[in-house]
Amino acid sequence: MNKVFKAISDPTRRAVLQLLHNGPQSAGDLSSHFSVSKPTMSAHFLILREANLVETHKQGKQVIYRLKLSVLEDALLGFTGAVGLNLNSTPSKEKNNAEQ
Amino acid sequence: MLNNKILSSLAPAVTFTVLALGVWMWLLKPELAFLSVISAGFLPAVWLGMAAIKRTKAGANFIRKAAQELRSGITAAGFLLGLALALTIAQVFDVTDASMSDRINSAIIGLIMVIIGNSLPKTLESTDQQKCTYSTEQKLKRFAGWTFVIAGLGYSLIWMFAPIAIAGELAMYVMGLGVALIAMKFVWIRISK
Repeated sequence: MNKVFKAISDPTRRAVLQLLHNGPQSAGDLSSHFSVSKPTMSAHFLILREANLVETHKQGKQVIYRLKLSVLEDALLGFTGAVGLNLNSTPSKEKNNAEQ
Repeated sequence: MLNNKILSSLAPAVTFTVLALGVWMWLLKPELAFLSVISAGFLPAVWLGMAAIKRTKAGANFIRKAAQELRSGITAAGFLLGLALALTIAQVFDVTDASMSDRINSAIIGLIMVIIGNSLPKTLESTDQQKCTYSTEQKLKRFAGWTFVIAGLGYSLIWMFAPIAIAGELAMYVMGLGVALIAMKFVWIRISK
């Protein structure tokens, strides 16, 4: 559960999950919504995968991401999004990169 | 979160408990001997059956693939069986009455619906774009998961707090409405494709 909290504590990762609510998308398509570097996005994707909140499969050369949220995780995501919680008070490395 | 691994590890304890409760009920209520023997022997019979299937080549492959899911499913069934036996025994000792047993049993069934509904959207299976797109599967399972959780909670709460005279009927309406909504969503997705 710690991994889930860590994953949804970051606004970028929450935004990725919100985008995936509309359906599966490739890593490239998802990255195009954010003005962060590719390595930073990869780090975000890795955290989401480790928390088991997204699932990937290969389609040709593309990596497709799709949502894998339980109802509880979905509710938690909605709640943190609505309240605008930033549970991760210590700036993480990838967050610093994102700000740059 | 109650997952397959935890349930699976509880299998021996649940089997032994159900066996013991079945024998105890037989001793307490000899008129329910047939029911007691069936209940007590259910889990050992299933495990023995699985062991027999495992001895065949095809059966061994099948069981190896889904070993944990099978064990957890059987354990969950055993848990419900044990609960029913425990509540019947409790009635013998006047710890609960029949209506209270119904309430407890049904409330737990509702909570099991909540657990199943909660994990439903996580069980993505479709990899065949022709049969069902990822997006469709995700939408349907998300809707079904939320509906099961809300209906299961409603079912439990009704059995816990509603007057016993109307609890059964009301709870069935809630569960029926949930299932109907899921069916309607499924039909809607099929039509709008």
